[in-house]
Amino acid sequence: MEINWLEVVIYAVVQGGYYSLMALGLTLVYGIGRIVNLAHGSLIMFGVYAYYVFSTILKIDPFLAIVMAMLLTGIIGAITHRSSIHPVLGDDVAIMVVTLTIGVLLSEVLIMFFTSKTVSIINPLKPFGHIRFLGVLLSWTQVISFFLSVALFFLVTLFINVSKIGKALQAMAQDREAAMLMGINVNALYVLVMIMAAMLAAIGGIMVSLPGASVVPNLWINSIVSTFAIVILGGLGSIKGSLLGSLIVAFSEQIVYYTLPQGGGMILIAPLAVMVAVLLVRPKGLFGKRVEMED
Amino acid sequence: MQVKDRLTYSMLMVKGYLTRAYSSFMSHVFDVPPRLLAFLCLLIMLVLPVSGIDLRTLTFASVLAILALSWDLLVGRTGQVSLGHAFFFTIGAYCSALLNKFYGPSIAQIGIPAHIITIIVALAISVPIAMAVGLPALRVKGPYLGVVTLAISLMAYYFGNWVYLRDITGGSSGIPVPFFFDYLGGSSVRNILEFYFALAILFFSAIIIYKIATSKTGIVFISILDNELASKACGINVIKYKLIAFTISGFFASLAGCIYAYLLIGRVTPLSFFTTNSFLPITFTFLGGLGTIYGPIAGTFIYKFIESYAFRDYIKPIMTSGGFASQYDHLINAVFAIIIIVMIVKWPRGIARTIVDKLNDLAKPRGIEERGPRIWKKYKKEQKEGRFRKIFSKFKKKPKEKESEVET
Repeated sequence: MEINWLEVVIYAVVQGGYYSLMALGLTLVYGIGRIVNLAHGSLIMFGVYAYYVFSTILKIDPFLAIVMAMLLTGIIGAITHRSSIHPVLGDDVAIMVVTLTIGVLLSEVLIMFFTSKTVSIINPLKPFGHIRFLGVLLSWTQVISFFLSVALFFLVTLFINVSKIGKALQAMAQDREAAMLMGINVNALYVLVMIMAAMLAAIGGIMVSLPGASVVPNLWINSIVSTFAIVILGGLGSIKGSLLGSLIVAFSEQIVYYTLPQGGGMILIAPLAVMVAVLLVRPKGLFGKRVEMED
Repeated sequence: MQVKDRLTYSMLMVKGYLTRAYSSFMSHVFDVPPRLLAFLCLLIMLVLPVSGIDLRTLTFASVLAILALSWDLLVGRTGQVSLGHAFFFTIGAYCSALLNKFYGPSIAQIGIPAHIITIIVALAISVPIAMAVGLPALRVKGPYLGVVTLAISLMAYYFGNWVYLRDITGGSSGIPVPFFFDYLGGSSVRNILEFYFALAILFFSAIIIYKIATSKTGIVFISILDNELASKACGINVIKYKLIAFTISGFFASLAGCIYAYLLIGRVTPLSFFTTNSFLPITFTFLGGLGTIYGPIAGTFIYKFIESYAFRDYIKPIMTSGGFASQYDHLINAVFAIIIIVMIVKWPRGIARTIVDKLNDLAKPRGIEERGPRIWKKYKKEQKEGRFRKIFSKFKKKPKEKESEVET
């Protein structure tokens, strides 16, 4: 089978755009709060199901439903942080176990309510049809959500680098106690970061599932796989790294899809394999800090 | 006379040698904490009036307790987080099932039961596999390691589900394996035999893990848990001991997986690589208490008791009559997830560990005056002592000060 490499590259770039948005929330939470949020995949899934409930069941306008789903996921993120992550802050093992447990809890509750069948969702961008870009067929849904995710990505990075709250977040990322001594309300910023991450997770998840117009109940584990592969590839907590990581992951997925026989089910093995390989060479990821500052 | 003396002397020597060998053997086998022995004896006693599905619950619990023990050895004692213990749990069973599928008939021709041979071979294979998974642990630390182990288990899950290899691995439906005690049919003897078999393996794995934990190796493990840098500075080869922990843990987890597949399920599927299975030992260990031997075992039994006597008996009939039978497993996972979150946040010591600590407090010798309403007496005693101390201190301190002045 001959592979059209241009097609592979373009699809990979488009997919990488969504992935960067999904991974950005995770990067923020680790980079600023030192929380390994294994519940991120479940928050993504929660966002998509919330969109499904608002748009299909309650019949609200899809664009409004996206915003409402983001807000609801943000609230859920804040609740999970205050109720269960905040009390165990500082203990790495406990944080990982608690977040994984929250992930399992959220996903199991969602599967309980919506059963383990694939659910189809409304795609508001479908009437725009398709476009040919350099001979590759792309739907307008993909193009618009790609540009939207790139815009959101740069908006968030701008927010962190320019605004006063963003400066406070950077201070908190460098040294939490010193930031506290400078009069920064660290606990409120934790909640803010969690809300931001959850909202980014929701919109990222919605954008990933819009082109296919369906949600699978395995979405939580699939998105944990891809987002963690991205974030760890680039180095936990590095925004630059997550951008590069999402491109690498999307590219490897497309290559596996096109080269392996019946590779549809094997797509998700590619990012994991790349991640493990990179970690063996560079234990802190591509852009991770090399200096160990533990204890 | 001389011959008789020599004979008695040699007899005594042999006897002494035998007694020494016997006592050293017994001290090695039975030098386990009396609590563990008592607990396991309690389990054996429990079985006597139990039969049928209740016995099967106990069998399930004692097999899964080995998995919980192996997770606890890795996480509670060396502090290396493994979120993909389902990989170790299933890989041994998969190896033996594959061997059974392709070489089983040719082994059976010799006249040996094929599945026992394949399990032994698969356990021998699972040790290097566990070491290979442990290799990232040498370079990768903390959250990275947790995610890497999770990734490895999920990779195995997707690989097992790959349609292209359906002829070999059976795809998502997995590989059927023969039961251990299949020749007994469906008799009640079989259930009892299964339970005692599982309990015996749990017993020996618990003793071996206890031995490892209390040996020099175990102390080194705890030093790595406390401070890796300091133990490195003390001249401990941290890499070696981390790898040892991974290997032992992987071995016991795959042993549990083999027994789980061959004794209880009769089929190996890629679904058991999934994260909900990695989540099981975490639940058990945090229910019982992290970093102990009795904790994971007790946690597993508590989990199984709650699951079977609260959920299977009362909630499952309601759900099946309401048409929600497929949601039952998800409900159990969700409820235990809530329990674990509450436990970690509010009660991180766990149920069994708290009880054992209380018992230890009670076992301490106390004076006669402390009997009765203890708290009140203690309060009164403290008050009294405090008052006296204040009065005496006034008299005692002054001469000391004078002495010191004289010295200077």
